[in-house]
Amino acid sequence: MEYPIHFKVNGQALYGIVHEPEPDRAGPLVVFLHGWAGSRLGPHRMFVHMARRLTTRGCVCLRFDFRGRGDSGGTTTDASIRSMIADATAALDFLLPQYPERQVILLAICSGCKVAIGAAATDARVGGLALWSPEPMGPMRNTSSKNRKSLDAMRTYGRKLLRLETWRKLLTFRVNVKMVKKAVGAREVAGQGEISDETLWLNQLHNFKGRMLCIHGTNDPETAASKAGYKSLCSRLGIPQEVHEITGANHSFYGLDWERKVIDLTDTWMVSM
Amino acid sequence: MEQSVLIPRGRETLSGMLYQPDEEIRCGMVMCAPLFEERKSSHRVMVDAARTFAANGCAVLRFDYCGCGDSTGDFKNYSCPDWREDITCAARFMNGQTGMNRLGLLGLRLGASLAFEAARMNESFDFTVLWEPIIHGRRYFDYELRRKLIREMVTFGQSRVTRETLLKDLKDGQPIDLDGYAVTSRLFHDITTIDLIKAAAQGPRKVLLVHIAPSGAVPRELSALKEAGLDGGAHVDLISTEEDPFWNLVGLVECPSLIEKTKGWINLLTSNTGQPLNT
Amino acid sequence: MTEEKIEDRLKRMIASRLFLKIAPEAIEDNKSLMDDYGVDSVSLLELVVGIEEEFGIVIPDEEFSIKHFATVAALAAFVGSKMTAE
Repeated sequence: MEYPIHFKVNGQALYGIVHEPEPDRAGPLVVFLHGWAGSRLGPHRMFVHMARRLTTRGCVCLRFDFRGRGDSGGTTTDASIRSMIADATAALDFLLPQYPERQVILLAICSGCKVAIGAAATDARVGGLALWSPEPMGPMRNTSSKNRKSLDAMRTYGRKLLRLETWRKLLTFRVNVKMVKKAVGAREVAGQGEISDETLWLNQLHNFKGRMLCIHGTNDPETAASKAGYKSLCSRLGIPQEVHEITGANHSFYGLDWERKVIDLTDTWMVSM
Repeated sequence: MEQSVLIPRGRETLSGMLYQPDEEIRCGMVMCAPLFEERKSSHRVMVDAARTFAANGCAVLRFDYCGCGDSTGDFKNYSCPDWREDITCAARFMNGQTGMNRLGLLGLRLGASLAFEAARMNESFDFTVLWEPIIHGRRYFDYELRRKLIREMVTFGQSRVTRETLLKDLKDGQPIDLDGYAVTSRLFHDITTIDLIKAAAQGPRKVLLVHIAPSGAVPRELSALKEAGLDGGAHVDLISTEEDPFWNLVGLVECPSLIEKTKGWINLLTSNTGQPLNT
Repeated sequence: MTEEKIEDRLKRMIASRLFLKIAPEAIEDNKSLMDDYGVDSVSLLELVVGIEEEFGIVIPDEEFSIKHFATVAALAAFVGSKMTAE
């Protein structure tokens, strides 16, 4: 069964869809975290497909829109990774009382993975992390982005990127600079504040006692740095990590076969949780 | 008031959101989303538009077609005729929920083409708003195929397929992969046979055509669509708004001008209270 | 038609079709269109369509290779070769 929900964060109503399994099926509770400019559907409905598969395994799944995205309230100008972490925490606060005693897994894609890491670092309820195309965070960024120009970094978003027109308008201050800065994913050219936040969350991840799944595409320009960074992190913190690479896949797995592989691998990992 | 709704549709269920004005409802509108990744990119603009129209007295129903968005069903099992029927189903649902008989359609891109056809087949729709409609399906599909090749080129250094091989697959009954969407030969046929100009003579009767681009003149084919509608005796208005093609962007875009101009047109159209728009 | 002239026409087209807020002559011949000017797959498609219209050529699918679109210089050489062939 699938049903819509609303839950509140800072007076804003966030919208989501809960996927409920057959009664008496006791799998994990999986919360889906989309990327910066995405929505609860995920790229090419990938979150919908994954949630429906996991429900057959007995999982309860929640797909929701972060503040200012999709059908949720709020504006994008006030959004940040910090606010998205608050949204994710609020989602758990809302759902867990209705589905107690289920292991909590955060399943995220792209910059949603930063939200997942931040939430896992600060919320002991998180028992597992399934990360699709996780992006380098904090000190990981130095190796990945130092020589990459900000415009190139935007190519990580599924090959459909913000037009240069918006940067042009931004540079001529014809639009709300703050709004566009958020909108184009300014975290890729993050200020020192964001990098500090990310470094803090990575350092706090020693609080996370669960397991991590990382899936990367070999044609994602972030993969090399990201894979190395998360491997090092998990090794340092003693986090059991499973890593997979999907041959040929780009950042958002824009292909039927790539999607299928990501879903199959995640499904198998969930069963083992 | 925003209320999520589930609309029964045969074996499937359409997921939607109903926006009802706080005060008197002057009209109703079903919003028809585009397909593929355009649906994702345009999501927030459509939400903002629905909220604005509802605040202005127009009840709005946004929904996902079978096999799309949050609705049930597998994308590859559906095509344009099914989605046109979804539009009609959504309209009937809205009429049942609101009691509103004065219903219009608003579509974006391929959603506009579907809305056009749904309105053409069902004269009970009072008005039709077409945001940057796909006028010739063949041209649009060719453009999408070319986009796939270029995306492959950026990903792999060289495109691995050609339009010829992709079209051959479709003609042989094999689906092709367009950015994670399985496009079947049936969908290919249904998209490529779209020709709104040919159909305009018997098309919807009160139409707003909207060209959306950062700059530049109205494309010839949009003007031709207007003329074809006028020749068929329809009331057709054509306007331009200077906005980015938000259905094709990753990033969060606002389109105040587009929404305001559309709202203004709907206001004018619905300002004769008590009079059915079709008479 | 000299290759340099093709480059000038390409720069004008790149600036206008892709809405770059720089003068066409400021676009450098050998800078990466993707890395330095933010050309992506979406804008590449517009560029392809523009080139075909501007120069009256057809770019066959099998010739979509990233090396032709790397820089203005590479693109000009490619366009020049198509014009000569046709």
